[in-house]
Amino acid sequence: MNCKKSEKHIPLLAGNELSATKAAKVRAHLEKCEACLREASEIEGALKAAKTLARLEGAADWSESEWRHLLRSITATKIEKKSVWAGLSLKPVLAGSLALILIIAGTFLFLRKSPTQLNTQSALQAPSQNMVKPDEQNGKQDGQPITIISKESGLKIIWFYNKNFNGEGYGK
Amino acid sequence: MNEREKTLVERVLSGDLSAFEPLITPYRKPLLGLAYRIARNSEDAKEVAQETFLRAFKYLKNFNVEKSFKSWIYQILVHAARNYRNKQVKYETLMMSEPVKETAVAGGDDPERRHDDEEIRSRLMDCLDVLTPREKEVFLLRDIEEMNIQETAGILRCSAISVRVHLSAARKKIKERIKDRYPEYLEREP
Repeated sequence: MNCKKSEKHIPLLAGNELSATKAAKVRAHLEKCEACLREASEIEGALKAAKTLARLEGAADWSESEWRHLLRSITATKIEKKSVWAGLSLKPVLAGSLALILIIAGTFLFLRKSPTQLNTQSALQAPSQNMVKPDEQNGKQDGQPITIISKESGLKIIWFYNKNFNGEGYGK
Repeated sequence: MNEREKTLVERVLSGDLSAFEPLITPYRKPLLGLAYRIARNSEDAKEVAQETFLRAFKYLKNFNVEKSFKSWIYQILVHAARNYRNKQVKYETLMMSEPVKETAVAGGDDPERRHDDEEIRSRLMDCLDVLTPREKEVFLLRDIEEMNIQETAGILRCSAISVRVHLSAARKKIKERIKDRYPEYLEREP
């Protein structure tokens, strides 16, 4: 065992919380390393000092009359059976409610038709009023428009096919 | 759980309220002491301990008699102290004030003894001040109340590994504080 590993285990060695094998390894290291031995004895000393201080500290207490009064007021209350719901903490309940709201909102959005789809369909069915139709300008109407809208750039491409099915493209 | 406590719990639940006093009296001073070390003020400590006994009585029906009554009541105290601390933090943030530190609790009428008590208490509190709330809980339960790792983990509702990690950090910090401010305590040790 090296000093780095030993330093990690020394505070637990002071309280006998290490397994026998690990404790033996740390003790073997302490026999060889003076710095770690000093650290171990300081932690042990500090632990004993804290316990001594806690033992010497005068304990706070209620006076007898205060204690009697306290007992009377406690036993005057009703013993309750906690409901199943009261045992649940608020956080899981909130998380569950939020998840439910998100599921409902997600379902609603999924089922709703997207505006892009609607635009494409309506454009396919009927060309826009503002659209410049070359055949109309010439007094002829024998073409069929197809509108394609790019989702990324918003670029709108309208193709007009004449009766020979030769396309002419216009970009917006 | 010992048989005496089991009988007392059953008596309280069957309506014999006089059995509640012998049930909680062994925990009167230890719980008040622990509450004091967490709350740092005797009035707050009394309030936390009072809340603990009240909840213990109110929810005694929920207590599993096969488990340790000691662990259960300490668990209630830790939760009551946390709630109280959170309320205090909110209040202090609102009022922008320093937490109330108190020194005089016990010591009786003897001024010399009271002075010694105050000195010891302020030193212990000073050492505990370097710890985070979780480290303080772990250190107080394991090293001052001398509960084992499993009991401490059960009371704090965390893993034994978490207890070990916090305990290790707490002991290192306490050692540094004692070495730095009260080296005479380390020199006294053989």
